[in-house]
Amino acid sequence: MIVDAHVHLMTDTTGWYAYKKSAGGSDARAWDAGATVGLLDDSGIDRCWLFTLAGLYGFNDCAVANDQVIEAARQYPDRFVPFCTAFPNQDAAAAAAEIRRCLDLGCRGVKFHPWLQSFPANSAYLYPSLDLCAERRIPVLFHTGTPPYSQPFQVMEQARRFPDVPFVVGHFGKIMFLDAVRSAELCPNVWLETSGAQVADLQFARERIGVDRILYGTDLPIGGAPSAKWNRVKIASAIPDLGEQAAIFGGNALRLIG
Amino acid sequence: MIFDFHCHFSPQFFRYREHTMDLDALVAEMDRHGVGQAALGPAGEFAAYRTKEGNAFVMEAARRYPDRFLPFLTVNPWARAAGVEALRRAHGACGARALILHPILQGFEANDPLVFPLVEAALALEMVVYVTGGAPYLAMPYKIADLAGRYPEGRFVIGHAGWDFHFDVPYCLEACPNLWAETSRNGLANLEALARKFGASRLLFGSDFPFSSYEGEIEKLRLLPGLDDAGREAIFGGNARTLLRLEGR
Repeated sequence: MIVDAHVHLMTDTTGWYAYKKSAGGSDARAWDAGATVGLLDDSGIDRCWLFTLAGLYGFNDCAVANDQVIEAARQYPDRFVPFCTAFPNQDAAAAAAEIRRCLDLGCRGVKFHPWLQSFPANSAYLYPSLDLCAERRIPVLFHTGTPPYSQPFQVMEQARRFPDVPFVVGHFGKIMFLDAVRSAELCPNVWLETSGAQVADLQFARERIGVDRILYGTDLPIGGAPSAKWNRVKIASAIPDLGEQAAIFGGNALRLIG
Repeated sequence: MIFDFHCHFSPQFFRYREHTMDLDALVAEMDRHGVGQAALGPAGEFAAYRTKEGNAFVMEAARRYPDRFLPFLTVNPWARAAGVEALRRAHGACGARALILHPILQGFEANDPLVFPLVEAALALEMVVYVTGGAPYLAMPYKIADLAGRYPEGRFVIGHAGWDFHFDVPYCLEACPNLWAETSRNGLANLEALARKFGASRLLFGSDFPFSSYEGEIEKLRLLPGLDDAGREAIFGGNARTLLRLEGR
C-alpha cells in the first residue's frame, strides 16, 4: 500500500497559490475532497495523511479548515487520515483545546507550519498542545526547511522534551537535511518525510538511521501527479532495495498510524 | 541529445560522506539515460579549496572524452589575485566556457565585492558564471541577481533554480535578462511556475549528479506541465548550447 505522509486539502486558492499566481507562474485552482481523491488515483497513492492548507494562514479560520479535513475523511475513510492544526502563538491553551476537539472528532495527527503560522518550532507556546499529543500518542508533523522558524533542530528540541510524541520532520529539512538526519539519529521519536529530499540526502539518511523512520511524502496537490511520480523515482533511485522501498512507501506510515 | 549543465566529477571527495567516482561509469550512466554531453565541475573539497586539483580532474576528463564532457572551472574567490591568475591559466589550458562559484563551500556571499575581480576576469574570457543557489543568506537568488545586475554584459546562472528560495526567482529572472535557472534539486511546481512565466528559454537542465540521479532529474522535466516538445528540447539542451555558444559543436 502506498501511503503519502504529506498532502494538503487545498479548498481555496488563497495563500501559496495566490502568491504563485501574483508572480505570474500559476493557474491557481482549488481541490475539494473528491478532486483530491482523483489526484491520489492519478498519482498511484492509496492513502494519505491530509491536512489543511488554507487553515495554516492566519486570515482563515483554522477550526473551519480542520472541519473540512474531518469531513473529507468521513467521506473517504480509506483514503484520508485526517490531521488538524491550531495557532499556538495566539493562545497556547486555546490551541490545545482546538486540537482536543479535532482529536475527539477523529483526527489522527497534528500538523504545524511554523513559517506560515508565525512561531519558531521550539516555542513553548506548543507545550500544552504537545502535552495532549503525548497523552494520546499522537504524531506531530512540522513543516521544516525554512529558517529561521522551521529548523529541524528546533523540532528536535521538542522531541527531546516530549519523548512519547512521534515528531515528523516534513520536507526532510530541505536544505537543512543534515540537521534533519542528525535529529533522527539523536532522537528515536523523530521521523523524516521525503518531499524536499534529494537522492544523496536519502542515501546519507539510510546510512545513518536506516529506513524505518523515513516516510514517503509529496506535498500534493502542489506539483500534481507528475510531482508524486517524480518523488517516487527519486526515492527508488536512492534506495534500490524493494523491501526498504516498501517500508518508505507505506509500511512505516502504517506502523506509525494504523 | 541531452546536455547536462550541472554534473560533478572528482575521483574521490567528501561531501557529507566519502564519495568515489569513476569516469567510465559516469559515461555509461549518461549513455543509459541519453545524455550526450555534461558540464563537469569539481566536487567537495575540490570545489571548496583544492580547486587547482579539482580543475585538473575535470580538464583531464574532457581530454579523455572530448565529445562528452566540458570542463567548468572553479576558483575560491578568497584566493583573490592569485585566484584570478589561476582562472586565466586554467582557461588558457582548456578554454572552459563557465566559471562555477559555490558560496556555501567556498565561504562568501554571492554579491560580496570580494568576488568581483574573479567575475570580471571570467567575463573577459567570455565565460558564463554559474552560482550555486538557494542556501540561506550566502547564495540567495536576490544576491545572485544583484551580481548579475552589476554585469549586464555577462551571462549568469542560478544553480538549482534558487532551491527553497523559489518565491524570489521569478522576480530575479524578470529583473535580469542575463540570468538563467538550472533545474536540479528543485520541485516541479516551482519549475512549472518559471516555465509558465518565461517559457522554456530561461531554464537549463542539470542533474547535480552524483547528488541526484539522472532518472529522477530527467523524469522530472519529462513530467513538467505546460511545455511543448520544442520547449522541453530547449531545456534539455538547446538553451545550454546557445548560452555556451556551442552551436555547430
